[in-house]
Amino acid sequence: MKIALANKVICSALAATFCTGTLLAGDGTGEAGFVPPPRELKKPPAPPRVASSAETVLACCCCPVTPMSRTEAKKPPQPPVLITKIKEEGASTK
Amino acid sequence: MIEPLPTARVWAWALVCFFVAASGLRAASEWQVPESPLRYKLELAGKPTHPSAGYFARLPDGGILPGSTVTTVVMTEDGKVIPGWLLWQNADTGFSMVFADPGSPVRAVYVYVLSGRVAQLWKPESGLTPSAILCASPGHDSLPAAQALAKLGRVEPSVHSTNHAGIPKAPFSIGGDLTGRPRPGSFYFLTYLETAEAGSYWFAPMIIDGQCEIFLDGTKLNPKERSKKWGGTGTSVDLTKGLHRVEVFQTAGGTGSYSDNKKSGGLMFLTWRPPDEDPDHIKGAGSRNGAESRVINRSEIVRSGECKLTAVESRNGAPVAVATATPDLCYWFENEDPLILYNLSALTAGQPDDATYTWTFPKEGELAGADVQWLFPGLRENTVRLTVKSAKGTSTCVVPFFGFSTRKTNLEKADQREAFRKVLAAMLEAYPHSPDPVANWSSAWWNNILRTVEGGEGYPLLLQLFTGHLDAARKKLSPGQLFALQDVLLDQTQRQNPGEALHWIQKFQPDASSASRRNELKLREGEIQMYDFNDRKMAEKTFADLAGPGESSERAKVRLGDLAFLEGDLNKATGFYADVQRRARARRNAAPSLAGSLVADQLVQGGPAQPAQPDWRSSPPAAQNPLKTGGGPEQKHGALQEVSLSENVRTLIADNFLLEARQALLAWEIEFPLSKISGDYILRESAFHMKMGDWKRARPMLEAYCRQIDASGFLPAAASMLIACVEGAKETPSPALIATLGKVKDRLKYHPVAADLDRFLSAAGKPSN
Repeated sequence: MKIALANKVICSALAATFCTGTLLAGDGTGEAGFVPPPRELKKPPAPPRVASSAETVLACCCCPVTPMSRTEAKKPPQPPVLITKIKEEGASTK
Repeated sequence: MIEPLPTARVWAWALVCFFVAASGLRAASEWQVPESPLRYKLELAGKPTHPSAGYFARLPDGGILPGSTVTTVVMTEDGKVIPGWLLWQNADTGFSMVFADPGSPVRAVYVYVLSGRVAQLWKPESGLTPSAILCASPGHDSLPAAQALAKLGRVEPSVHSTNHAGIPKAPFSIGGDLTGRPRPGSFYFLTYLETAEAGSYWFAPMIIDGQCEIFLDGTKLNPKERSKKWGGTGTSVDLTKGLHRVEVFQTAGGTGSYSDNKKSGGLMFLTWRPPDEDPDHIKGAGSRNGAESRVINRSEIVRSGECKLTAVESRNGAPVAVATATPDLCYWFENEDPLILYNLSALTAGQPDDATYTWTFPKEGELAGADVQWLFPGLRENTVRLTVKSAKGTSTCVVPFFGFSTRKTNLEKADQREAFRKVLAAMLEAYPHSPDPVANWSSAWWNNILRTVEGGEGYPLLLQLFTGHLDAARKKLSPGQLFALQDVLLDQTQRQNPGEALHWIQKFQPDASSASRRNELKLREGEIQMYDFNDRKMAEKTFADLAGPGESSERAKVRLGDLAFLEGDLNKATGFYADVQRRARARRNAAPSLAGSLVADQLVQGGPAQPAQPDWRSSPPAAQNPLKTGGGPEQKHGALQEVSLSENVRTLIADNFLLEARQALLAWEIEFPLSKISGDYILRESAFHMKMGDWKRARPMLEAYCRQIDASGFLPAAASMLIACVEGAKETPSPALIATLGKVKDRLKYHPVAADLDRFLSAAGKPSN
């Protein structure tokens, strides 16, 4: 019982020591060569607009004259959709 | 706008009516107007919204009507004369007319044509209120051209009219030329509006494009701005309750399609505000700030009834040629010319029993039959001539039309690819030999052949193409495109007539400019000797002659292995396969990946539709690259690649990508030929041939596999497929086959496939133990 209590006290004291050291030393942002992380992650550019070849010449739903449409091309073969369960070795199966 | 009615014309018309009435009532089968040489039978399809609107009809001419003017007498089947008036007429496309509603019991009327009479044009005073008739004159961009249409009577061949008020969003509108003809154009819109009550109506026309003039009961509207609100520019008109004539004269300048104007689409629409509607509560107002008017509702527009032409007959029983050209599928990609499939139908009702129908396409041959199909270039004027012959005479008409279709077409659909191939094959058969129309085909024709051709399909088309038009194909196609089409034809000819396939190989030899192509053809020749003629000696000699560096030599070695496999020499077969596979393994790291796009796409872009090939010259000789024999990363990599190839072929076959599956099989075979013995290559290859209905080609290797492989995980599937091949080919099983399957059954007696083997063997006459 006493040993457990002593361990707890020691761990707390060590943690307090490390935190104090960090607080006193600062977070390192002021040091030379420090590059701050970007405040906001830059979003990747928007993907190019995928226009179906079957789209009409005019993308207007109210056009009084129905335009002639391009033909929809045959699509290349697509890989099959794979669904699998990844289990980490040694992880619980629950 | 409207000319006064000449007294002479009134008298002439009265005389005609009197004569017709005096001729007495006759049964429908009788010729009710003796002096008329021809009559149309019209079925009354859609009732008019108002009795006075009558029925609008468009009747074809194209050379069948006598004289240059048209006078008609409309009669019911029981002989009652119906008042009718001509609207527009030309000798090329025919005439449009309006006639009174004969009443509800009447379902059909006859329109008799009289020659040598003055045409009776519709006038507002006639009592009929035809609406909403849109008449278009393509090629003209002027108000006088639009106003000329209002004079009715004879017009240019390109002028056309239709009963079309507008679209649901703008029921009273002019959108453009509904036949698809491009700008410029002029329009005359003859309509009647119904007012529910007397009072002051606010008319606010919305002119989107071009010039526009609107006349209400013959008086021009002069819109002025009254407010900034939507519909605030207009004019007030005091109207009585009832029907009021609205005539719109519209122009459309510029060039190109009417649907190119993205911001609006359309030329004009008319809005109004009836006297009983409060501006603050107008329904369907087009602005948040309130509106002065609203679009005219469909129910407020008078519309004439619709007719359907069911028969055209001549008085003397001679045939009358009348045809319709209906647009169907449209094959249009990128900047190519659109190709539109048209259904051409001759009107057969009322024609003599012995009538024959012939369609003539200018400079492109003839087709026989009442209903045919043809591909026409889109977005341009086309013509087709129909000739009907019988013992009583000959009649000819010319059908002009503008190539245009709004039918959505998708080459993902097998039937829409087949439709193109089928119609083009019929066209090629009809084409004259000299001058060959194929020589003038644009790239659209060739590219659509490449897009729609499939493994196991399109034999009639390719047969026609290479039989009568090989020279044009050689000039227009790149070597890769030409070879790909030749291979598809050879695949199918080999299945149907191996001897003819050998003949085609000889015919294609001059096109084989490269050694690799010549070797490919030689390989195919050997395969026909091996699989179809069972001449294994000759096949062995053919394959052995293909020695030397390069892929053809490697493939020839694989074929020598196949020969040994078929002959039952498993060791020899394994030797050939292992030799090829060892060298392939040495090259593997340098080999590019397999092509992932459609064969058709590669061909259209001018690329080679061949499996990805390594550079054979830089491949190190096998002797200088001893391979590791122990298990390791290389072996794992090879095993993964082999599984990947197998799975790729399986999915390609399942999804009907047969050309791509063929490529994948060729690539697999040259990389892992030992898969024929230790893997599932033969299963996949047989599935490929079976998918194309080529049972004969699939069977030998399956039979050899079942005979020589004692035990493998693929044996049950091979046995099932072998049974399917024999049953699919409807062959009588040979004793050797029965013996082979009997032994397989002994080996697999506890496997579920044993039941199938039992059934097959019992049916074949062998006791099933």
